[in-house]
Amino acid sequence: MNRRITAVSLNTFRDYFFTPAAIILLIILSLTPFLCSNLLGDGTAEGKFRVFVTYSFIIGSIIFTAINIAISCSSISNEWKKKTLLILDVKPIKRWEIIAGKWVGMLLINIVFITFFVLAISFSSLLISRQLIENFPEDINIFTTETELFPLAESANSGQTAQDKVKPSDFMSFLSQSSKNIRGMYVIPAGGRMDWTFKGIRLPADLQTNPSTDNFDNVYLSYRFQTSSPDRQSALGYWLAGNPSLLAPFEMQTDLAKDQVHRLPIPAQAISSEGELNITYLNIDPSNISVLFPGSDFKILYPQGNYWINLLKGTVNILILSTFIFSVGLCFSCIVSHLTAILSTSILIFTSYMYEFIQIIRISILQEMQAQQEIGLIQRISYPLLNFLSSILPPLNEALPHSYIGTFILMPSSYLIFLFIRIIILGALPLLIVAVIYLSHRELGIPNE
Amino acid sequence: MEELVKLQGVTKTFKDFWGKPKAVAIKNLSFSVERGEILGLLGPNGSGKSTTLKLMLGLLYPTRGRISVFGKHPGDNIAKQFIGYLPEEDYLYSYLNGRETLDFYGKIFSLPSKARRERIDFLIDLLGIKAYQRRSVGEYSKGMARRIGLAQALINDPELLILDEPTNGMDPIGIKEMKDLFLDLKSKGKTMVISTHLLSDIETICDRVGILYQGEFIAMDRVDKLLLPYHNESHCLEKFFLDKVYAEREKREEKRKTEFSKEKAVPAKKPDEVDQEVIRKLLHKE
Repeated sequence: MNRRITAVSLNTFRDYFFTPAAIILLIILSLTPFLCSNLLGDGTAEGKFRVFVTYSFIIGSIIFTAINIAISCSSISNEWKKKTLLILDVKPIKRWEIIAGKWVGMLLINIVFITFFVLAISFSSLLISRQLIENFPEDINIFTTETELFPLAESANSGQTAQDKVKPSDFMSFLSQSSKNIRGMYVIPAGGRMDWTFKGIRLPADLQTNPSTDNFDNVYLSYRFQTSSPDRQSALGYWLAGNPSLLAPFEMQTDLAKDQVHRLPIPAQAISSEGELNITYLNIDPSNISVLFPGSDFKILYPQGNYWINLLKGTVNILILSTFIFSVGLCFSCIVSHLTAILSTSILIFTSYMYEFIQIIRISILQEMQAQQEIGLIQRISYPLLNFLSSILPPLNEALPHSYIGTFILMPSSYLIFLFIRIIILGALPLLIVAVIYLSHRELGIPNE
Repeated sequence: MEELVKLQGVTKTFKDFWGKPKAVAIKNLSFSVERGEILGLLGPNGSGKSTTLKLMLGLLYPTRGRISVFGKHPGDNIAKQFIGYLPEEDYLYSYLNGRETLDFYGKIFSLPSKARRERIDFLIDLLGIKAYQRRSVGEYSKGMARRIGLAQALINDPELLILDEPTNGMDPIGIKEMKDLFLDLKSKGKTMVISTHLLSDIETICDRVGILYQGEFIAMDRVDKLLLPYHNESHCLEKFFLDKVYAEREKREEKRKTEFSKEKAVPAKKPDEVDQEVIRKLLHKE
């Protein structure tokens, strides 16, 4: 960005931000989520959450809409009215640079407001999550990214919920999780076995040096599987985990439902000091079926880093993401056109729906493959393509799986993104209109009537 | 000599919303400003001085004719790099202080930060605004704001200074200082176009003077040549200006009257065509 645009943008920021009205609005905006987190709703966990989200965002959106419309309308017209534009226009600055500077200034103000609002939302989400965990321990399972509370997750929600119950004490460890994936697709015929080796799992020092049964829940194998029989809804299997040079410290027989995400706790001592973990699956199902593990859903979840630093990182990530999407939306709507902004929003929605659609096709192909026991050419070609597409498209329903606190923070944040794109369109449109009028108004020196 | 500004047959007509001509501000104006010269534009209110300056800056576009500034179209960004402009009023950002105002305009000229700081310090010393450089511009008196306005016009060390009533609202000391500053700038070879009402100011500074009346030059020449008949008198530019303007006004008034009478004149009736009836009635009444 050149110096002229920076100068104009900072000037605009200075003009609007350091005013009593802006400071009061900022305080109201920051307090709104905290006030809304005290509302009770209809007495259920979901009701409380919905009331919190709805009220915070309605008030937030009203304030944001007002700010954006006011600034975008008055930033150029005030210069025109006060004739400061006369001096500015005879300086070596292009008119588009003035408009771009005004827009960037508006963006800066929005970024500050959004930062405060997102921080307030995130912290009040944290508060409300703790309240809900204490007050509604039974209802807590609805708060995953896979339930319909999460925007756009309805299409992805095919009834699956987390299989293993998560204790409130485990929340801390979930938030500081890292994951290791494997690639490919693994078919295990009846009576067969499959070995996987995960490398580079670096556990925290205290877990590594002092593995004990207390830390049993810290490492998980997360997986989803399919079976070759459409009638069989579950498969009987036997898991072995551990360093091959040692005795297998973990073995478990499972009979779990297919096409659902499961998490198997693995003891920390199963992981060698080099960070290696061997997993073996034995297909011992009596009904002679093959089991298929898609690599994209087969991962090891393990704790890494400090909880608070991870929380900070997560919050900053969400902040950056929301700011980025906000600025992209604003940029499109302001510079290119109103229609492009709608398009960019639609693209976001479309791609996530596309992801779900591709998942459905992928799974149907998978089932077909299992049923026929042999893979056709079209399926052979299309399956990796669908896999690739599903890896590049935004999988909104899978962000931070099973991490309730993460979900608590992510859910309002994603509401925020959808909401602000709408506000941005509203807010940037007047600026665009004013800018167009200004640009077409070629003669700035015309005397006032 | 190099011509920095050149106007050829420039006419400017202001139009209303529907595109109908509302007022003719400038009529067929042609002149040029040479490098190192100071041109004074004089004229009564509404004579088109400010319009001429705005045309030179590209703030207005001529209805007819051609303008070139530094050999380029007015409004060209390269030409703007060498121009400093002081408008007739102080159109400054009221929330910035004096120093920040200059810093802002310095950034618009893309001056590097060190050079910008030095230039601002220099201008603050030059114009004597050190005492109130940290106060916001909104609190300034008119004279103070005028100085900041002039400082922003000088921020890029311009070759061509376009000043619209620079001493407007200043006290006599300020006017004296301003005049000294203009003479100093003149000695440095700067080119200036000054529009003003205060004739005594301009007399000692300007090389050439043009007197505008209703958008036309009624006199345009070197100051010494114009004032040759008045050389023994004091305030001779003022006298010359008043003489010229009054003479022009009378001339135009005369012209207007004759045109009006030509339009309105109706051929008189012959005596025999006069209504005899009316005469009889009048006589009878008496």
